[in-house]
Amino acid sequence: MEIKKEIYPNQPLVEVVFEIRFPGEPIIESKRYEFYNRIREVYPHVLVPQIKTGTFPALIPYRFERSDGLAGTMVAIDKFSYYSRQYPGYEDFKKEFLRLLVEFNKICNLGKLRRVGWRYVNIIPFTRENGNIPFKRFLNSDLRLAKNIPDEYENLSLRLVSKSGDCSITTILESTRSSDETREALLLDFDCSREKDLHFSEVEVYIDESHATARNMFEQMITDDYRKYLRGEKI
Amino acid sequence: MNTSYVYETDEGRAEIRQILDRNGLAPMPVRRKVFIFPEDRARQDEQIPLVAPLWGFHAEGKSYKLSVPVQVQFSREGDFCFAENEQLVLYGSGETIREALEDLTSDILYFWKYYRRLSWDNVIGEGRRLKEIYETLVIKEQ
Repeated sequence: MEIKKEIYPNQPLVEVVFEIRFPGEPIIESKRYEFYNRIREVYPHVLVPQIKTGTFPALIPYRFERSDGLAGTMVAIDKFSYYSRQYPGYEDFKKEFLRLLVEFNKICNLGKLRRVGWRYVNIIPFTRENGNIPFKRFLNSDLRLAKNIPDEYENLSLRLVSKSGDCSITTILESTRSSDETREALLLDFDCSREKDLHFSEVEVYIDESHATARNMFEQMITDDYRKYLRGEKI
Repeated sequence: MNTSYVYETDEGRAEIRQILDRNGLAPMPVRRKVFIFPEDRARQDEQIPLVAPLWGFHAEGKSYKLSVPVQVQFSREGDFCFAENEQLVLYGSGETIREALEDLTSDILYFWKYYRRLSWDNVIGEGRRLKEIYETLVIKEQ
């Protein structure tokens, strides 16, 4: 599978996350500080979860975040993830994820994994045309529900779950707007996950596969006109 | 530990709400009208205006398509919304974002017709720069 590596100057990505889940390791709670201490120079901010009735504190991750809030890592007794809000490109993202994972694994020595997941969250600003969302300018997807209903929509809210090989892909497409109603955008959120026969030693393979699936899906979904806009072709 | 914060931990939708919130957005209600808190409105006013591509518009009873997207910057000042494009030195205003956009697109259409009619001999400086843009900006009726 050929993977596009181009980084678009106008990219709509607002958050990229890669997460691994594993059978609970209670030692993570007692050694969380050791992990933090290894990464605190880059991720000094500690975000403590707010616990609500009916939740299990050990399963809710702590966040260790960069001081500018643009990237961070989340840890709980059964999960570890790295997120970026200013996507540096796949190679840099992967390199940092793997660096953090090596540090994390020094406190818990992971083996079997239960789930791996890659998440691409895009926010695509748009201007309405004739009162409708011009989604066909951005996306190749055909959202026509019936022949006699025009596929022009004032609002959208879709959640789709599909399978591609071992990968389960959840796609959310939703129109959003700011509360002062000056900003409108399409939320396009991909979550590609795998749950079968996973092992820590293969994490690099999983991140490559998940990224490739999500990136290829995005590239296939967007129109050539929108791709040109992402490359900076505009007035 | 040098700093402590608390963040919301609702599973699923809360994550999306946080991402949207960081970007000054909220899920758009499909059936309900959004309820705006006064403090939320104040926070929004301080945010960077949205920039979005414009590929087509409706004016003078017709639909038009642009060959290259015009980047529109939206903002709000008091009770007025603005839609502007720096390159074309144009802005539209109105009480709603839709009115501001309609104001801008009618100006784009007007100046597109104006500059294309104008002879090259009659333009210099800024006028020449704008004519060059409008000459390459193809507007087709859909």
